[in-house]
Amino acid sequence: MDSPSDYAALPDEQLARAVQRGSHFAFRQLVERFTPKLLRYARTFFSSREEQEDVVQEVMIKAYAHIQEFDSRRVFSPWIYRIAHNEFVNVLRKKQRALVFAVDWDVMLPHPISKERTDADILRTELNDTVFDCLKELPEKYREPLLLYYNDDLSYGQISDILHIPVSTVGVRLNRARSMVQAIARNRGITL
Amino acid sequence: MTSEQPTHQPPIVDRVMDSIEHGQVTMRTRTRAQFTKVVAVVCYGLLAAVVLYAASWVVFVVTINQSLSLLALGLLGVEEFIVSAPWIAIVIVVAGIVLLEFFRRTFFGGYRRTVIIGLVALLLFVGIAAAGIRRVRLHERLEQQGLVSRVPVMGMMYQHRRLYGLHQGYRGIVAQWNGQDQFRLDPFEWDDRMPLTVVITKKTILPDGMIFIDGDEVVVVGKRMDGTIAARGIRRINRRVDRFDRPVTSPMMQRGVMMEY
Repeated sequence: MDSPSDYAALPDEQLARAVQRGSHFAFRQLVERFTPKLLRYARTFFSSREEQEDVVQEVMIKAYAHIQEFDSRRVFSPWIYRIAHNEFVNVLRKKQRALVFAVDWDVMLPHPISKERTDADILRTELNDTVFDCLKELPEKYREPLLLYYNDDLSYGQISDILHIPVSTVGVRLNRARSMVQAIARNRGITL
Repeated sequence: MTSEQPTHQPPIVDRVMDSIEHGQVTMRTRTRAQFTKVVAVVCYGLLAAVVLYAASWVVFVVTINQSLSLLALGLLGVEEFIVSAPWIAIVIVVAGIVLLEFFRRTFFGGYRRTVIIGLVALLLFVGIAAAGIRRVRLHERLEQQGLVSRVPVMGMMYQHRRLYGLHQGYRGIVAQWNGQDQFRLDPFEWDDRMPLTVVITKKTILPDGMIFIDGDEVVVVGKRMDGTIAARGIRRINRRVDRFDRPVTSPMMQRGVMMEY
């Protein structure tokens, strides 16, 4: 395997393994696959396109530098999203010179596990700009899991791995976020 | 939307690959990643050992100085328990458990459960392990070694028994009970072998009753004036304890260096 087209059909984990063995083509493939997803994710944190691109570029560079830490028996996407989350939070911290996420009670205290919703939820569809505008009014801690769940199709467990919060907390935040989005949309006269 | 406006830079993929191919970014080696994990595991292990040692020390102290059993004296017992508790060790245990939970969440994927569940599980584990250490009498053995300075660093802890004595409590054996309101107490304390006279008043709290028999092991809480204690509370620990019937557990004891607890 030594040309870019050889890697196009491989799953992320196999690509990551190839990168660990030194393949630049495999990494190019990973960057091409994840750049659009991470740019969408960056939209939850940053408003300017330039800033989003800079920070996603930094995420990709960090992913390359730390690729040997990735356990190729696990799923790749939560791993790179975790790097992205850390990078975004660090950039915001530097900008705001404050703690972006303090310790929350919903991470401290146990909650009943809410089941993952498998029904065709309205938010499951690609988030359009109108809904995205509603999301901007949500606090960061609710906006992020909502985007990861509906826009990037990640499971509760994967979101828990990315945000380093309990699985039950992911469920709680998603439920609250849905209610908040619906309330914001109602206030704006949008039907979801 | 602002975020959709195109930028005039080359695509991200080209910028990233350029910096890799021009050697501006280097991949960290697998050995380095593994080394970080090993360091985390070693640190976690060391911290866990410190926490377990401190927790077992707390259990050792509250059982050996009998402050736990003094709780039966009510408020007086609680006061004595609080004053005599090994607070430095307790603080180390609490801070250590919080640090262990932080380590677990950061390095070992422990974030999937809530903080409280993690802390309670750790607390239970540490409590059970400390009780287990108490059962194998680790501290008694270290204490015997410590008395002849064979325990580095921690030997000091064992040489200064005052560190884990009671604040206003005196443990010892009842002798010469007059059948009414007074007995002689032969104290256990290693550095104060003078017998004490214990006086019982109407206010003395006696959860185990007023009848004593010579040979009973008791803890007397009260203010000492010279050789007399006006007892505020007396707790019977062991009836007619023969202090010489404990099993011989170490060469030192076999050589005749006897210790009493």
